[in-house]
Amino acid sequence: MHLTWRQRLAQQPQLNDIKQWPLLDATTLPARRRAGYLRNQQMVGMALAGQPLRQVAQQFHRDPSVVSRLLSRCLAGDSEASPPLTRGLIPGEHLQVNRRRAPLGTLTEPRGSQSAFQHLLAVVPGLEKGLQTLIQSSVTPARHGQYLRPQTFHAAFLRLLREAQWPSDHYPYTESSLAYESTRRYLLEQRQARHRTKPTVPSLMASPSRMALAYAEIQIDEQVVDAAGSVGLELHGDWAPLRLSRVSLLLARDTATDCILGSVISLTTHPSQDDLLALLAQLHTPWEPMVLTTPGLNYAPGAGYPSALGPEYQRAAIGVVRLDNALAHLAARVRDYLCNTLGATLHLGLPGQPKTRNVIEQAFNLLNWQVHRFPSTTGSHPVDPNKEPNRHRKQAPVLSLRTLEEAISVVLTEHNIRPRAHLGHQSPLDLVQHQMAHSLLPLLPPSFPESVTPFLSSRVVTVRQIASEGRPPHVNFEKVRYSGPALQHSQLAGDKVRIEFDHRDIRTLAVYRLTGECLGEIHAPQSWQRFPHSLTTRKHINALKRREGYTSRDPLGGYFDHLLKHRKLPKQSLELVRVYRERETIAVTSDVGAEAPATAAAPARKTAASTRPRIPAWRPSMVTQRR
Amino acid sequence: MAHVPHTLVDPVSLASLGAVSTNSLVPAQQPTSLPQLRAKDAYQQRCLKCSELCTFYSYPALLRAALFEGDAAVTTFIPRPFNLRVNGCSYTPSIYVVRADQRQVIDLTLDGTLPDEQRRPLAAFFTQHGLGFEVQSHKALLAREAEAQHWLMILRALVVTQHLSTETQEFQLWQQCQTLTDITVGDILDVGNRTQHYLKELAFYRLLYRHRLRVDPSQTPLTLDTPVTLCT
Repeated sequence: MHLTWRQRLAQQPQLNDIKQWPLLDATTLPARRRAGYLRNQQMVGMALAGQPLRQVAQQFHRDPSVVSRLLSRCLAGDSEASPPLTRGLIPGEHLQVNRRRAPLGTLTEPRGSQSAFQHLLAVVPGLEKGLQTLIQSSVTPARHGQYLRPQTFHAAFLRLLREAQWPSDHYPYTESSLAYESTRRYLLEQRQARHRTKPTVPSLMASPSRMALAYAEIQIDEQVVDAAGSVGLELHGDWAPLRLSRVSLLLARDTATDCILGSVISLTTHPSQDDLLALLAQLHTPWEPMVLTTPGLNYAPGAGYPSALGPEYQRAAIGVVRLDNALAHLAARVRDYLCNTLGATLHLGLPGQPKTRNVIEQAFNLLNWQVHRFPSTTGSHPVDPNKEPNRHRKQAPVLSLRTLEEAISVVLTEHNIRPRAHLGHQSPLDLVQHQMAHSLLPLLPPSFPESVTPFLSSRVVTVRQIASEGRPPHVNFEKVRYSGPALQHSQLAGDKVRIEFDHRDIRTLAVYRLTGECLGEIHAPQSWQRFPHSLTTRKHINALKRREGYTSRDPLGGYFDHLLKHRKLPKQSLELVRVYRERETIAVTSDVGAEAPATAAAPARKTAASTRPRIPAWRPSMVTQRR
Repeated sequence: MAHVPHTLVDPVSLASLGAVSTNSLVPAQQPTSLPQLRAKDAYQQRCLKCSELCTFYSYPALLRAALFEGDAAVTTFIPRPFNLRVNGCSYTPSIYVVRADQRQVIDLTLDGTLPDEQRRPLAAFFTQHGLGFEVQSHKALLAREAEAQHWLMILRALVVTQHLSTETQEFQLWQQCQTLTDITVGDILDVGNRTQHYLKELAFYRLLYRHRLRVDPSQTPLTLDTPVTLCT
C-alpha cells in the first residue's frame, strides 16, 4: 500500500525527529550537491518540527509545494518498504528505478516516450534476450562474435522488433530517431557492466583474515622511488653534479598495527635478494636514525622503527611474510632464511593480485604523496602533469640522493607515531609497545640477533692444483682463484671442500672439509684485495668482462675507471655511488671487527681482515694516482 | 610411465584401476619448480612432522598441515606425496598422512568433491595399496582456522628452537600446574621479563605440543587470561 508522507509520520511517529534519520556526512557529497542537501535538511527539519509548510517555504523563498514534494520524496512510498529518508534530501539522487506505467504512444495517440525503451524490453518477446546475446558476443572474444557499433546495434534492435511483428504505428516508429539514442545508451551501459570488476566474493582460496597481534603477519614489497636524485662528484679538483637513476625502496609493514618495521634503499632499479635479506636483517637489528644534513628536516620526537625500542623487539618472531612473486623473493636464500632461520610462513601470492598485500601497497601510496612534491618526480604515470619536464632532464636535479633518503626516512618513521582512528586513536608504535608489554608476542631465542646473519652462504667446490704451473692449490670462486694456508694440506688437491663466504665482502673465504672440520681461510689474489667488494660487485665486473672484453690487472680500479668514464649515464653514476658506499660500509664494519677480541676456534674473518694493511678511503682522485 | 602391478578387487575396480599409474608409491614431496612457485598461491613452512621444507599450494592445505601438527595421533605427513596419472591426466593429491595404525591420502578441493571419473579409480587404487583416500573441502578446514592458527603459532616457536634443551623447565612447569587449580597462562608465564624466562615459555609450548598441557585452541591468539588445563 502506498503511504503519503503524512500517513508515514502517523504510522512511524519517531520519524518526526530528523535526528533519528540516518546520519550522512555532508562533506562526502560533491560540492555542487552539498548546498542543496543542507538547504533541504533545514526545510524538512523545520517542517517536521511543526512549522506550517507555507512559513517554511517563505523562509527559503520557495513555493510550499516544493516543501511538500520534498517531504514526499523522503517519506512517501510503499508501506512495506523503508522510506528513503536522508537519501531523499540529496538533490538529484536517483531513488527508484523508472518504470513506465502509461501505455506506449501511437501515431494517432502520442503519449511521450519516457521509459518507453525499458518498457519495450519488458513486453516484446525475445527482444532483450536477443540484444543481450549480441552484446555478450561482442564483449567476450568469440569466433562468431562481432564488434558492435551503436549503428549496427540499433539496426539489430529494429530487426528484432520486426521479427517480433511489433506494430509499425507504436513506439519507436513514432519517433524520428527510432530510439537510436536509447539503444546507444543501453549498449554502453551493458558493456560497462560487463567490463566492471565483479564484486569480490570471499574466496575460499583467500588469504587469512587480519590477525590481531603485531608481527603475526608482515607484508614486504619494493618500489622504484618516483623521484630522481643527484650526487656531487669531485674529480681533478672540479666539482660536478651528476644525475642518478632512480633508487628502489624496500619496505616491511606489520598488518595488525600498520607499523612500518623497516626500510632499505637499494641503489638500483632492480633490488636483489641481498637487498631483501638486508631488510629482513634490519628487523632484528636496532634502528638508528640517520644523521640529517638537510636544513629544516628533523625526526619527530619518538619517531622510529620498533627495533629501536629494545632487545625484545629485535627478537620478535614473525608469523607470515607475504611477498609478491618477484624473482628476488623466490631466491633459495630468502626462502631458507625466512622458513628455516626465522621459522616463519612464507606466502607468495598469486600473480597480478596486489590487493592481498594492500597494507604494503598503501604504505607506498602514502610515501608517494610526499615524494611527488619534489620537482624531479616522475609522477604517477607517463602523462602526469607533475612529471619533471624533459627540458630539465639534461641537468642534475637539485634534489640530492642524501636529501631524498633523509626525507624518506623522516616520512616513514613519522608514520609510526601518528595516531590512527582505526587503531583506536593509538599510533602504530604505541600499539606494538602495548602488545609487547601485555601479550604473548612470540619471540626468537635470546641469542638470535647475534648468532644469525642472512649474508653467509656456502658452496661445495673442488680444490685444484695444476702441476705444470707449480703454484699452490686453489679453489675457483666467481671466476677468481683463491688460495691460502688452509689449502696447503697435501692430500687436499682434487677433494671437495665447503667454502663459506659473506656476500658483503668476498675477499676472504672460510674453508671446511665436508666432514665439518675447519681448515682456515683463503684469500683472493692481491689484484682483488685492493678494496672490499661484495658478490654483487664481483658479478658486475665479471659481466662487464664478458660483455665488453674488458681486461685489467686491477679489476676493481678498472671498474671504477669504467664507471667514471660513463658517469654521465644515470645508471652508471648510481652504480658508482653504490660501489663507493659498499666500500665505505664494509671498511667501517671491518674496523669495528678489529676492535673486538679474536676468538680462537672459529675463523676470525673480521679480525683477519684487520691484520691486512688498512685500505685508504677510495676517492676519485685515486684514478689519477694510478695513472 | 610404468603401471604399478596390482590385484583387482571387484568389477568396478577392474575397469577403473587401469586408469591410474605412477612411477613410485614411496611418498615424497613432489618438487616445485620456480614457475610453479610463481603461479600458485604458495605457502612454505618448516614443520616438525615433515622432514622437508613443506610447500602448500593453498591456504587450506597449510591449515590442514597445522592441524596434523596438533593431532597427537599423527606421526608424520608429507604434502603432495605422489605424482599419479589418472585417465591420462596428471594428478597430485594434497597430503599423505600416517596415523598410529593407518596411512591415508587426503586431497583438498574447494567443495570437497572430485569428479567421479577421478574419484572412483583413485579410491580403488589407494585401497588396493592399503591407503585410505579422502577428499576434504576447503570450507571445512577454514571453519577450523582458529585452531590451526593456534598450532601454527606453537609450531613456529618450536621449529627454530629445536637445539634448546628445556627438560628442567618442563618438569618444573608440570609440577607447578599440578599444584595449582584454575591456572591461566599469566599464572605460569611472566611477561615482565621474557628474556630471562624464555626457556620456561618454550617449555610451555613444548608441553602444549606434546599434549601434556592444554589450552582451548579456538582461543587464538593466546592471552594471559587463557585457561590452562592438565591433560590426563
